[in-house]
Amino acid sequence: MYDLNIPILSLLIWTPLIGGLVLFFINHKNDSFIKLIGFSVSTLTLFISILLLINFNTSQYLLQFVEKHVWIENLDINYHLAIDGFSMLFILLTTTITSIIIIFNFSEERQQNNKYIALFLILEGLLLGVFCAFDSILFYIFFEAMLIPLFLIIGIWGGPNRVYATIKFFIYTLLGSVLMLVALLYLSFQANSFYILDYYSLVLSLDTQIFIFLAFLIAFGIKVPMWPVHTWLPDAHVEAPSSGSVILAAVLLKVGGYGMIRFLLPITPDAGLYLNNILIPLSLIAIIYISFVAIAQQDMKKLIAYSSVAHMGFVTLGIFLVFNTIGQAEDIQIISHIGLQGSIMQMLSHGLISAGLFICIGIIYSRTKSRMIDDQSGVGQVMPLFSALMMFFLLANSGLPGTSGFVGEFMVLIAAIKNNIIYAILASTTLVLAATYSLWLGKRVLFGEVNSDTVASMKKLRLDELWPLLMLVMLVILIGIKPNLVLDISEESSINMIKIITNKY
Amino acid sequence: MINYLYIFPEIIITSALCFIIVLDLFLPSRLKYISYYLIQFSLIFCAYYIYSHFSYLNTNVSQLYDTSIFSNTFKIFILLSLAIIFYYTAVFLRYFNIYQTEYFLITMFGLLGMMIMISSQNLILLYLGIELLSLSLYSVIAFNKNSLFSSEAAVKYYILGAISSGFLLFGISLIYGLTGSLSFNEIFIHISSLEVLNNMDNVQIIGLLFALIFILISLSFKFGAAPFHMWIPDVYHGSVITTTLLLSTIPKIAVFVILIKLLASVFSGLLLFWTDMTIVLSVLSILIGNIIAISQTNIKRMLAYSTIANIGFILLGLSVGSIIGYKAAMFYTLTYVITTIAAFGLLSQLVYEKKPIENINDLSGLNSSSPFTAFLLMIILLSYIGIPPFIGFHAKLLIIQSLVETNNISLGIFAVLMTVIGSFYYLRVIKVIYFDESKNDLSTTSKLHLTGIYIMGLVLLGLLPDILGQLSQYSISNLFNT
Repeated sequence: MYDLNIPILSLLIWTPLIGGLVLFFINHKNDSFIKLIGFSVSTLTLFISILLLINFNTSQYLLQFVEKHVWIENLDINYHLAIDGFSMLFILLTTTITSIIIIFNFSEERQQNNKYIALFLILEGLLLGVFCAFDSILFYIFFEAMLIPLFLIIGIWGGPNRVYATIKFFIYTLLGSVLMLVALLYLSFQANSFYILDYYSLVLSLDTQIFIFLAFLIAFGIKVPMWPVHTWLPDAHVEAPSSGSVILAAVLLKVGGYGMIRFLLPITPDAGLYLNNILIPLSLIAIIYISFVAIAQQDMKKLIAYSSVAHMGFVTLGIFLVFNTIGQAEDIQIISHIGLQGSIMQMLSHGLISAGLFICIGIIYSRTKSRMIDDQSGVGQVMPLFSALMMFFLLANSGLPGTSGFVGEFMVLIAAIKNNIIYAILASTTLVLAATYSLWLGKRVLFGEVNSDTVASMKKLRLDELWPLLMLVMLVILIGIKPNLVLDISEESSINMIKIITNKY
Repeated sequence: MINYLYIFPEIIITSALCFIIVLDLFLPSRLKYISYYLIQFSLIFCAYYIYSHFSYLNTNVSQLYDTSIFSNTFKIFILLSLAIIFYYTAVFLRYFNIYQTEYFLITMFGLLGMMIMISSQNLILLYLGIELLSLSLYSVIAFNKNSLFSSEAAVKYYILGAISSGFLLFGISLIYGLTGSLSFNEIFIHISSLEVLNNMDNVQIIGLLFALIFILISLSFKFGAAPFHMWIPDVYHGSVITTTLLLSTIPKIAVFVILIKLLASVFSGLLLFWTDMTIVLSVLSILIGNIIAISQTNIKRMLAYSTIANIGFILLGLSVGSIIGYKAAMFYTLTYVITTIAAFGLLSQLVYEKKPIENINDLSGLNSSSPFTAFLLMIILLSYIGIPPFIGFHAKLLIIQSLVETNNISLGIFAVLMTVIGSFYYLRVIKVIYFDESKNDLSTTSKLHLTGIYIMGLVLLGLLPDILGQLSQYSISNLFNT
């Protein structure tokens, strides 16, 4: 393991947090000055995360870059940061997406722009905190503090129904997380420590496990979101400003998946096995039913929001399939390893693709002031380059081979086939359904005749709108062609995770 | 031989009072500020005296008057809180031209009452302290004599307060009849000698339980726990906002000290019974407080119900019946007081259409007219909800942790779910501040620098909760060692 002599994780978290807090109070008349500060802070954070990646050792599963200081002596709560393979990937996703959002914001004019950018930076810092925290209370603090910036982003800069959407979002997620707090406290009481890895070795009875499992499931299930607790997501997406939707879909939902991997899998495997007959159908409902719901949408943002729920269904399917292999032969465990890695792959790829799609919709909305599919037609004739990019994201969204969207779904499907062929058949309907809603959206918006003045007068794509999209396209193709770039990072952690679960059984 | 040094803090306050009352009569109105500064000085000096004589005062072994570290911590806290409250009061009263030095002096009598309450080791002394506090509060509530609401609130509080005093006296006389003593220590010894667990149907124990119930009812009334909370919304609503600030903060500390002394040490033999009682009180308070607060439009009434809910949380910590719960309850009380001073203090400095803030909607669009104030208010509200990293989160965390560690998990789940319900009405205020249209009629009575510094301190306390944690640990363990 390489040793950096600087507290790089603290640096990573506090750079955007402090940058954001400072920016929050700089009420500068000059908008470009504010944008420049935002850009430099987010780029600096991105560089720190890349530095982290360079120094990250992928050949072992132990925690790296550990920082541990006593924080609350009374309760033995520590300021304990570290990362493993899973964290590394999500950190990169967060820093990349935030940088892209800040660049995308260059083109937008709005009231109180300093606060807008500041809140995104604060949100970035808190998200990074969630992925780095290995003390459960510290994790919880970042997890819940995350609500505040997004609550304000949607509430202040959102659409007409923003108050409803943002309060719904806040209360939904708060409800989930408080139950998790009780579970965390119970675990810490049993383990006599707040260190997350100490929870892994706890031996709990099945009844206890089920309660803890449910508490975590509600917390992370709402965040992911799983059917039937997904209803806050479309509302939040529709009312959020474009960049808010981007970070919501691309990173915030992933916190749910990350939490499931970090807590549900290793702490309560028996409960997972016991409840799997309910959990896997829930994921399948998310995949199939929500895809149908997506087809019926008239609002572009809602459509992509529902498609997010469906895609996250794949993530939870891959995670829950791991439970099914508990106590079985070695070769089947390799399958669940593939499923787990597929879930992570799916999360990253969905992060990139949905970010791209929401940026595209934001670009259309900024020109036509409408998100309704019926109001647009023939965008392709007015903005050919933009349409090509958007079509690319739509195809990736439907799982086109060669893009990252394909890899994750494919891996989860392999795991499903080995588990139960019926799961696999049901899950694979998404290949048709996702193609249906994605391509149909493309057909209605991008192709066809130009039949309204607003579309005809759309301005050309600006450079600061093109760059974010191009970066995302490159990443999607890169990961699609060489998925091992991503998979290698979490390989050891994932193998270790399967081992922990099996040993526990 | 009586050693007067032990009660020197009380002597300071009393003599300052007597001196300033007379002095103020002779001061021309442009020099009235002198008496204000003298009052502030006497508070700070008294707090400093206690702080500098901490270990000396702790050597007091009197059976009547307790000056242990535990009591003195709370006294210092009350004195400093009162200094801050007086600052807000002075600013507010001057702005609205109802400034009178008597307001502060009457409150000082209440302070004396609280100090006696905190230190009392004898039921009669306790009763005297409570009455001194209550009487000064009645007159402070009625202070704004032009307002019908104020008079109504004062009369209401007076009548209900008299009933609750009656309950207290009845409980005290029962105890005297059964144990033959009024001293905390002797009552404690007497109850311990009964061996409650082995003689459940002993007549004496039933009698003591009656007495305990009467005393607990009276104290819950002062504390504001449901179902004895009826006066809180009306009185909070009727008083001027700085009086509400006073009412909702330091008297709660004094009552908390008495509750913890009576329940956790004097009546510790009856622990089995009073834990159930406090659970009922706390569950009702949290339910009623959080649910009724949702429908309030007046911000003082809303915060009144939020007080009831917070009191419920404090009682929930007490109901654990072990040191970890008391520590959590103390942490919660201190946090609640610090946050509430910030909340009412900030609100008292806001003016809407030349009148003090009354309704939640008066605040709409505060963010566009003064973003800094809006930000401060948001921090306070988020802390009330219990969103990390603010101090309110740590307080709730400790309460829930103490419940989980004593296997009261269902109560813990109840508490967190009620937190979610409670979050709604705080969020509505944030919504009004940040998301609604500005009315542009909002201004402030004075510069908010001090409030800003105070609230930044609150944030800092949230990042370093160990400060309050160690304090609670230190004082609670002191209570049980001596």
